[in-house]
Amino acid sequence: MMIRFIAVRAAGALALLSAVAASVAAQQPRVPADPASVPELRAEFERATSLGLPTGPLVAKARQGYLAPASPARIRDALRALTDRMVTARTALSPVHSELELEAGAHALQAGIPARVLRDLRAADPGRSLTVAIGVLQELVVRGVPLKQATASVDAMVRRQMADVVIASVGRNVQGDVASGLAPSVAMDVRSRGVLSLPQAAVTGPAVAPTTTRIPPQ
Amino acid sequence: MPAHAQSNWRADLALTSVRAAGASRVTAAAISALAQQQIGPVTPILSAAGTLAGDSVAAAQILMGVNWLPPWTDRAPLDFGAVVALYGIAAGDRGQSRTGYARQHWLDDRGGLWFGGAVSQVDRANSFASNTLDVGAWRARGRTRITATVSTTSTTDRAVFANTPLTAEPFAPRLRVADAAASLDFIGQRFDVEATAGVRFGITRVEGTQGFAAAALGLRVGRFVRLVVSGGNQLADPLRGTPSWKYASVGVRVASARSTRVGVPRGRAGPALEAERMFGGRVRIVVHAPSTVTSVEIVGSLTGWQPRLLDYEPEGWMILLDVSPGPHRLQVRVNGGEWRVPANLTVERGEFGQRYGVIVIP
Repeated sequence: MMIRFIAVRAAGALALLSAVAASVAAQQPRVPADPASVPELRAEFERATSLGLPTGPLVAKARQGYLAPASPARIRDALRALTDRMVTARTALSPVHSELELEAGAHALQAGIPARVLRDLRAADPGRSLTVAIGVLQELVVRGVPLKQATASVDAMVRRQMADVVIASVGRNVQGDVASGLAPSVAMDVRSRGVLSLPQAAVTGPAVAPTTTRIPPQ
Repeated sequence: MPAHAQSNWRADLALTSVRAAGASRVTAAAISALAQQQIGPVTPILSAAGTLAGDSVAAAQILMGVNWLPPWTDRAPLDFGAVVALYGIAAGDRGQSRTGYARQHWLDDRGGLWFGGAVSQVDRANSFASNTLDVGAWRARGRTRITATVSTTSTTDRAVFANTPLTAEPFAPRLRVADAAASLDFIGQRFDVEATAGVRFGITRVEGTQGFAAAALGLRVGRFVRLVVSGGNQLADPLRGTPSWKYASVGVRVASARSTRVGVPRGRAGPALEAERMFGGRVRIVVHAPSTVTSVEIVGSLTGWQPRLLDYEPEGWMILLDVSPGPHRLQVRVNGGEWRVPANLTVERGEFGQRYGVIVIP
């Protein structure tokens, strides 16, 4: 922070405050309020729109890039890749229930989950949103649970119409087990058996009662 | 500040064949237990071990320790600890050691370096003082971790070097040795392996070198149970007053976790984070950073990638957000420092080179 000696006057004090605010702001990356209006990125947003895709995920990705901070060219490339993944996810998850589901599918593809896995999940229950299920699947894979095992477990829970809160709890508990030192695949087996032994429950949509998404601290 | 406890424990029952330096081989049944409980930045540790040999020689040891990671040292953790060990042998020999240690760590997401030291006092028939300086580095990749350490120990305890390849100068008031060691541990789905090897050199008033190597193989036979086979030779430890010995052991270990390592931080993670969907649908985010910090922020898909300040409440640093169901990526930062992944979240690398914590909110 720059230290300035200045006369004790109201105007001077305001100038000092402004200078401090400017120097603090200079340390933080500038995130445009509307990334779609940035000239380097406008074409990607127009392309997504022309393909009938929502631009919300692109806005989020652009802001993420500016915060990193990444160069405009790198952000543009990321937006292009995200658009391509959303096209693939839209096909795999058809019929897509929401922008959130589409975005979750695109992120899952980025994590290396094949499109056929998303297709199979959709086939397991065409009538429900898979946003949470796809998120849990991706989290498990990133954590180290083998894809085949993670897919089988999440697929089984979707087929049995387990509520999102239950599916999410499996991901959290596995995470806790892995953090405690169990091998990821072993942790998944233990938790899945516990959840799949519960009586089947109808899907009720998003939880309406408070649920505790508590993750044990490391 | 809330207490967040995480406990680890293990118990071993083994048949062990031990030959201490200068002594005859003894085969004994050994039972040991260790428990540690993390409470905030402090981890008390208690372990006890007992052996019963075929010729009625029995020994027991109790070890009490505490490890402290100060809450203000988030970027480059300081690690303090103290250990008191008591032992007794049926023939009448008793002893006690008291050790205090400190380490300064520097961490990244996959490994770290440390520099530290320890001082100890061992009381047997006489009292002996020792001190150690050590530096080390470790790197983790997948399920494998490699560690290398170099240390130097000064001690007044000549007896620990008796009957070893190291020769201590007669009547020297203080002796110094240096150790170099490397270890590897691997945690697999069905088995895990730990292996260590190194060498000790005489430095001051000690001549000679002594190599050492040990390995342990654990085979999972149940969720908490492993069959463990181990063997090797162990160097004398002036800090505890224990002699050099060779051993082979087979036994059963029951443990709450794969490892009960203490004092080696996981990586440069941020404070832990909890998320809870409340009545009305908003999500309460709680970050468990100390009350002594001046600011805590989060940023991620659940904030529209705009940094948001949290408020300090009795339960921790907190914010209420409108968050859609599904996976979210986020980071936290303390005191305007670096953005980091909360310690308890799955780590995902983004395409911009950053690492994010992943949380799925139903």
